[in-house]
Amino acid sequence: MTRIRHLAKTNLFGIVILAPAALYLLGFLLIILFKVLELAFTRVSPQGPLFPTAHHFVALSRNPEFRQAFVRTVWFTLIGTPLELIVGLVAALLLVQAFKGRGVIRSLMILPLTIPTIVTAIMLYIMFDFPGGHVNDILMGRHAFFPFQVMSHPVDWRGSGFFALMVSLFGKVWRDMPISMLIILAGLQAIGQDQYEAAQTLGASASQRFLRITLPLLTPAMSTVLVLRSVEVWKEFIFPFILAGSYPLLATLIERAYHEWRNPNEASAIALILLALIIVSTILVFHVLKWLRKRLVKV
Amino acid sequence: MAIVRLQRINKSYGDLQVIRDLDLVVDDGEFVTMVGPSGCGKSTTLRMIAGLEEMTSGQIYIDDVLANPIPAKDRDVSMVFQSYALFPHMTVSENIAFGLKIKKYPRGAILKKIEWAVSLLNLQGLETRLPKDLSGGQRQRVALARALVVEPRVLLLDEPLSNLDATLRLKMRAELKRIHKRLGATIIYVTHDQVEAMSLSDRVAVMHEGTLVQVGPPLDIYNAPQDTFVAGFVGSPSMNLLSAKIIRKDTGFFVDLKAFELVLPEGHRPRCVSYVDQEVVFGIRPEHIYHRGSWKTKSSAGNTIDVVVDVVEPLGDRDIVEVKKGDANLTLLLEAGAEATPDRAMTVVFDMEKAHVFDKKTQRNIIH
Amino acid sequence: MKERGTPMARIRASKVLWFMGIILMILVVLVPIFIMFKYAISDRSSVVTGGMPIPLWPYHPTMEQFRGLMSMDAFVRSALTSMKVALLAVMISLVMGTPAAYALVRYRFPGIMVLATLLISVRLFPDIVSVVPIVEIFTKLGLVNTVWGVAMAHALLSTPYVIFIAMGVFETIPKDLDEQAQILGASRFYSFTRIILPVALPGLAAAAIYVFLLSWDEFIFAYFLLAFGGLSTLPVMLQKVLSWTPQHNLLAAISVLLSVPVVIFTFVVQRYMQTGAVAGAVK
Repeated sequence: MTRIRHLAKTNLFGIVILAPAALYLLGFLLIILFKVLELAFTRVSPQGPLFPTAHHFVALSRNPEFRQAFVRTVWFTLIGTPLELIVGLVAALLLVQAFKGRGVIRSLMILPLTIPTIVTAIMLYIMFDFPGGHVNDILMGRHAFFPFQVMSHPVDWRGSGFFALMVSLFGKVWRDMPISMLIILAGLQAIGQDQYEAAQTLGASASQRFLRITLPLLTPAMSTVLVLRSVEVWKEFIFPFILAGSYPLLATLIERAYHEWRNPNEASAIALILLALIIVSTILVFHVLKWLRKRLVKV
Repeated sequence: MAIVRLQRINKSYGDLQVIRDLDLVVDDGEFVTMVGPSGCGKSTTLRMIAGLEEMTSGQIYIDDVLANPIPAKDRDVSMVFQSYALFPHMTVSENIAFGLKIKKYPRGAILKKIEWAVSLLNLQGLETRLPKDLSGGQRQRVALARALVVEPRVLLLDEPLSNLDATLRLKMRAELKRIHKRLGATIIYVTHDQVEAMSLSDRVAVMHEGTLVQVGPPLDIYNAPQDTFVAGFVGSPSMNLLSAKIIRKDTGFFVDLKAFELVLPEGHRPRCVSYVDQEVVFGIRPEHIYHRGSWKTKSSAGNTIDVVVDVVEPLGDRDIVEVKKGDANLTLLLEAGAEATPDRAMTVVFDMEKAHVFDKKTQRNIIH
Repeated sequence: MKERGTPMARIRASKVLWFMGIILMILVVLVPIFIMFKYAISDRSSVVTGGMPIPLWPYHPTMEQFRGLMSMDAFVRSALTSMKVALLAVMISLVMGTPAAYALVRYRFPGIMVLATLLISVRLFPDIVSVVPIVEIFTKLGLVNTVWGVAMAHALLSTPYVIFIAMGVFETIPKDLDEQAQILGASRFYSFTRIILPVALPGLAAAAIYVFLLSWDEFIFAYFLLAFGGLSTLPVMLQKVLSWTPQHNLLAAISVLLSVPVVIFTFVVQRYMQTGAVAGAVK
């Protein structure tokens, strides 16, 4: 006991100034967790609140809107996460070789991250308007510089789950591109030039060098991107909220449950399910990637 | 193996010309070293032979085939880099096998070749290790194994020993010589260490500021350096080079170093006739100036000089002794224990048969 | 001669491909931004075209949207609210986060690094999951529809970043400074406030700007906490305009006013961080 008291005394100042932030952050974290659990497992009934009950989870599982949102979110993440990696990889590959003005272009590439997400979402809303809107106009060949008529009728970008979520995904990937790009660029630049040269003298072509040296050495960076970005895509709210209002994902469904259905309990239940999905998916992705890495080195 | 021919190679980076009119032929099975101070262009030349750099003008022939348009990966030329460039994510075996896998060798053949390379370079037991778990010397041997296992036409080595400590360097030098003997490989070696160049090569190519100054067997480079640069570069401690004048007296030709005179031997006279009364550069290696006591009598009368000892650096088996005579400073390499005490006089003998005279303007060797 | 053959042609082809890739990438990045500016200066006829394709450049570029916004009460109020919230968030998170970071860097009791990681990892908790409980709790605390409520929520989001950045800043300040002060008789508090903080100021300024921008941009918490009251921040106002009267040029004009300060400040801070002043922190 005296050891702790001694520790406390000598470090009193440190503990005191650390306390507010620690209490604020951890305190709120705990309160949020408890509240979410409390809300999700409480059912408001005429007799008063019932706790604990799995009522909402059961009700949601039977709710077609929830099931659709669930499936949509899974697809959204399944397609979006690798897409973020690929876009980041391509961008990094284009920028890895030094060239005149590379610094300027690299700064330019940070731009999507600096634009407030809501603004990007609304700009996409405007671009993908129906029946007018630049994208429709261009694809219908109504502008001189793009004389190919890809389609004869404008697409209602917000009118189908597929298109609405596609545009949302485009926005998300556009916005996040700088992060993936920077992580992979750092990984690329860590690979020594002389390794490529050694491979060249041993007869390796450009594609062989990419597959046997670049990709394997890039796997740590790519894994990081996949794990981090998967979390981000799961919880994406703003783009689907603005661009796919009629085709909710789990995140936007939470908002609908809260504001439209006026049911904070169901909203919390959805939130909990989303949280569980994120945790499970992250652990899964992490271990799958680890397993993959082990297999790659053998080859 | 192959013959490598470099014809009138020039390379410039913009306005800066780094390689100038380089001609070199390396014969089948030869060990040729390009040696020179840092920045003289030797590594650049090596990289051009490998195909990793392009030349501004000139031709490279490998086995009488013009290699200029052939990309590095198709030249069948292996290179060991100064940094070894081992693939960090591959084991020793996988590193060695890399070139063979690219060439699509069958698995059985690959395993056999790995075995051969491992035993050639004493890498037994290390096959499953990753480069990060290897010592410097081991990494170097893996790099060599990787380069040799593909049976290249030419093996290029870019300062492979500079990252090793002194003892390891000596060991690896012997290894390289052994490998050369055993495989009869055509090897082109680059180093700034003239001792390495001299001890390993069949021929040495001395480079200075982008040009080949002299090419020849090590002993020729040592005994008959074509100019003061080569004379000063090869040999450690380096050759004494002093301003002098050739004078003619009734008794013969002399080298006048102001502080003293030295007799020019008969054999050297014909070449120096045209330089009488002219300024020249006189050169003699520290190892060719002897302490009077250890000089075995040869016809060198008149070349005994009294000097004052300045500094003595004992090396163990020999001493480097700095001496003065008037304005002249000389470096001598004497046997250990020679009676050299600082600030005391000493009598030394110049072996004028081994001396050199260089034209002051062109810096070229008059005698050889 | 030399250099005539397939290898050269292949190298040229890959260079062309690369060049096309770069151009494409630049275009993709710039297009939405161009859209934003273009619509912001579009006159009505360039937006409502009655079936004609929307012009790539407005027929009569005009600043009327901006002028309108400056005198629009709702906009001015939203901007002011955003400003208040952001400044409050900066204040709260810096006051809490800076001393905490100092403690985490200077005090080495067992488990301190675990605590630091934990505090910074709070940020990993998804916003959308914590929104509902926060709103419920804030309702009980009477913080909904208030500037303080949103500021406190933003402080929750930004304090981990402040701790992270400030830790980096303090790590570059040599321990000798505090030790020197202590030997001279200063209390830890005095040495922290009068000696360490002034030295750390540039790096902390960067953190402050970061928090400001984070709060300025933030949508989710602001939306949930201010949805049905009279208050709104600029992002929330944007969404309201979208759901009521989606006039494209109006939306774009607000977007420009919302974004331009952010972009400018972000690049300024980024340049500043690159000069190594906050060297250890942001990797």
